[in-house]
Amino acid sequence: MAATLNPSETPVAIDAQERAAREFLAQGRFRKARDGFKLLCKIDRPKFLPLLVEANIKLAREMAGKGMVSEAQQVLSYLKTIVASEQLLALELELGASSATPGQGCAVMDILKTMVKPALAGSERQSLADWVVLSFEPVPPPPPELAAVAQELEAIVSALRAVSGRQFSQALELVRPLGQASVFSHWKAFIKGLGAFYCGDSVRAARFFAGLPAGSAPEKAGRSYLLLLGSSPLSNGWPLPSEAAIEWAGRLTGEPGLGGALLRAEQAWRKANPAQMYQSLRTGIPRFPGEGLDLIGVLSEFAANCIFTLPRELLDNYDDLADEIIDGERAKSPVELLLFLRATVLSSSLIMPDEVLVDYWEEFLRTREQIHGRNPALDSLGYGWLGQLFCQTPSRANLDSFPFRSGSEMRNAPAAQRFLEKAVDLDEANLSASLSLCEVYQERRLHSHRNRLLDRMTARFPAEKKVLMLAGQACLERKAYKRGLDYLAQALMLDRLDPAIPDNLVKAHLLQAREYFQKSRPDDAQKALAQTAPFEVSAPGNLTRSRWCLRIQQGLMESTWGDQARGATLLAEGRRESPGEPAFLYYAGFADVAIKSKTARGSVYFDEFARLKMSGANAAQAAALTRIWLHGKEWLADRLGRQPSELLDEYLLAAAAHPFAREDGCRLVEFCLAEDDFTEAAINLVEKRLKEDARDPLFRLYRLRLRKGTAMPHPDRARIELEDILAEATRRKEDQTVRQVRQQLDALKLPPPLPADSFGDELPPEDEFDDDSFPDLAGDIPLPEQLLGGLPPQQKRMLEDILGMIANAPEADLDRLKQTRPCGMSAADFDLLVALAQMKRMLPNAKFPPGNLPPPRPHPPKNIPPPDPNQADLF
Amino acid sequence: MNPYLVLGVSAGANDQTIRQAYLNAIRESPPEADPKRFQAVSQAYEKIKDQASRHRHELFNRDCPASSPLDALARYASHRLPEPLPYEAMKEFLRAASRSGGK
Repeated sequence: MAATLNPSETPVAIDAQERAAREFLAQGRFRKARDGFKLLCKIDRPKFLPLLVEANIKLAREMAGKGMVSEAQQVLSYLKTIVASEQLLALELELGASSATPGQGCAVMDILKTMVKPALAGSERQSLADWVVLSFEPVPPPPPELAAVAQELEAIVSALRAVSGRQFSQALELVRPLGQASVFSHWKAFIKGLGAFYCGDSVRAARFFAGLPAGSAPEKAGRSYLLLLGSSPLSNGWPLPSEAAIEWAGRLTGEPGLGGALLRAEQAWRKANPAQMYQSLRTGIPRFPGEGLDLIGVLSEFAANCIFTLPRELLDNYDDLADEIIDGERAKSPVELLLFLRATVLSSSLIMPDEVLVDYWEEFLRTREQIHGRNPALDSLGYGWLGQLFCQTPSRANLDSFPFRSGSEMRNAPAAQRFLEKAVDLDEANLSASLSLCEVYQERRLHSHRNRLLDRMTARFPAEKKVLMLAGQACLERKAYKRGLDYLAQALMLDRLDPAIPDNLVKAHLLQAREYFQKSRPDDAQKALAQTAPFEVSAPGNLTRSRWCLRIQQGLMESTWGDQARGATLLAEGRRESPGEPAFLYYAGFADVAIKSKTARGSVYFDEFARLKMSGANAAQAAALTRIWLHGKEWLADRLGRQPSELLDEYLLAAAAHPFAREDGCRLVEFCLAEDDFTEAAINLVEKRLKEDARDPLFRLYRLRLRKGTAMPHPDRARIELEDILAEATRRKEDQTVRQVRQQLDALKLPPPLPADSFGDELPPEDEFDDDSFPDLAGDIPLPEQLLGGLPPQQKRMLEDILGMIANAPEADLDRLKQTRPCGMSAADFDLLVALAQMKRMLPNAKFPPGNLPPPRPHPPKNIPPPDPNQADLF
Repeated sequence: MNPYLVLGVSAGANDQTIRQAYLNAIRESPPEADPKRFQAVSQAYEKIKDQASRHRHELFNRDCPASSPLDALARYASHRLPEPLPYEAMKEFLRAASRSGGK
């Protein structure tokens, strides 16, 4: 703005100045606007004076709003020199500069007189209306010309009083006569909003409050109600409500003194600083955190449970706070310790070291007892959860494809046993803990413990199907067939639709029949076999109860111990009803081994299968054989020799050489992916299919999943390939493939890298690594290649995998990983390699060569979801 | 949101009280009239309907009741409707609000 404007300026320059001043006024830059209009007034006073007044009034209001009352009053004094004082009454009242104060009826009357003057601007009239309402004074008998407006004022004040007394209908009745043209119409809308708010009609209330004229007293009061209605925009990018609005919103809910703390907490939250958010609440609210059913309780629940919603990059920020409170013993109160222990354990239970997990959880339960008193049922639930956590297979996505699984699959079976026993001791009615404890006993081969527990459980839970099933199965294991059948029959009474119960009943009858045959009681054996009849099914896919499977088992028993002719007939019947000769021979082979003796590993039926001509092999029959193989594997358990899998492998390879339907191929590849012994067949199937349709998304995905060890692609390449597969699968509308590809893409997502540190600065760029070179696990430290030279390629690949895992696995898995020395490698050599891998672990920014090993995971990921059994495990 | 707050029962309420509160709430907010409230009430009831559920909720609840501290304030008010301010407090509130700045 030119400060040297004078009347001799050209019209063009004046227009420009006027435009600029008007823009300043519109933009809320009132001081600049005022300066502009002041100069313009020297040129054309009648034209620019009203604008100068407007700019000054707005400037004074802005100053007053910022607490600069004396400065505002100076502006007012200046205004009084250029405009009639009655035009400034509203401003004067707002600034408290008027001699008229609430409580003086005559002053109210004067203001009413001013209000009805037609020359008064609308905004000024509204300000005066607000002032007279907020005086809350009874109006003295008005002169006739003011009767209407005084009556309206009276109605508003009475309606506000009625709202306070919960007389909402009366309040609405009082303001009903006020029309839209009334100077108090915005108060009428406010009162209607209050009525709707306190009657629970939040939508209507929000509409009324949001529609109030900006800057008016009801609108300012309405902001607090809008906050409570959740109608104020609270997301990032929107201005924060004022501290006063928040404070009053808190007061409206009965919680004074929260404004500042809540405002600072909201600011910190928007700046993605949850720890600061928590600290703001913690230091600003004396009663925070709390467990009550009040606003403090809800804020506390939010502040503690927000950890479950935080993105990974913010978790460290919050974890540091949790460490300070828990480990630094700086909890403000037992409730705070309780909240943080619980949230920390629940959010990190999968990655915490076992000892820390136990310490934290037991401290949580102790603190809870200290606050709320002893509760054995709750403690039992707590210890049961801990035990069940230790029962879980370690859920490490990068361990799923781990080649050497040794020892227990449970995370920590002894700890699981300890805590589950404690849970059951605390509350025998804790069924879930009892069932898990059974599993642990089974896993640890503590059969007598398991049997005693099951005896107690059957007495305590006589109508629990799962308990009866477990008890029945345990009886079958210890050859207590009669008792086992009894439990299973009871389970069947409880649930006639669960197919597992008749499956187990049939198994029990067959076992019982075999025992009778072995004890030379063929009549009893045949009676036991006859008991299976009600459970027979015609579907050949049921490998326990289908007619052909039962005939084979019955025939084998009769042939071995009973009536040979009858046995031959039954076997012939089984062969006739089987889905094919290979299926018959393969199943009979398994059944033969299972029935005959504990030590038998071979069977004439397997021999006969081996003599089958493979020219007729086909994918459909192969699929049936894979199902028999899975069934037989479970059946024979530790007696499963190599012969069945070799036979199946041979058949699968033969089937892969013949044309097959895509669906059959999928089934076979899925099977092969789940079992390690048939990879070659799977590769053949995939390649054959891709020769027919090179873009087939599902088979391209299979091909990626089949690449293991050194053949595994670099994550970046895998991602590109997966994205292409995803596009093709989407185009073909193969929803299931799309889901699988997305899962793989998710599995490729890695935690953000650490900020570069002094180690990182010295590292060569990633491009310098050669994809095909042997992994340089120790960064700059040369790997002793001579240690690996003598190993066969497969062992070498496995070793690479192990070392990569050691370099990246969470602490909890290290010991287990270190016990996975491949056969053929000396302990000393392996220890040296492990040491190198661990050195790599200590240098998290040292780079792994792409292709062979996963990138570093310096921070264990938080909130690892439980393992998805359907998720592919190859990346 | 805290299920006790949603149903308007105390933290020590027994099965019967909770069931009664649940029935009252769904009578007030049937699914055809207020499906959101009905859903919230039903979910809250499932979480605390018996002692075992209450224990599970106390130990393992991972629900975050709001999306920000101010949202927590709004959610709290939506479940526990405040009483109108007494007349004198209302006067104070309206006068204080009118003095606050900003548009």
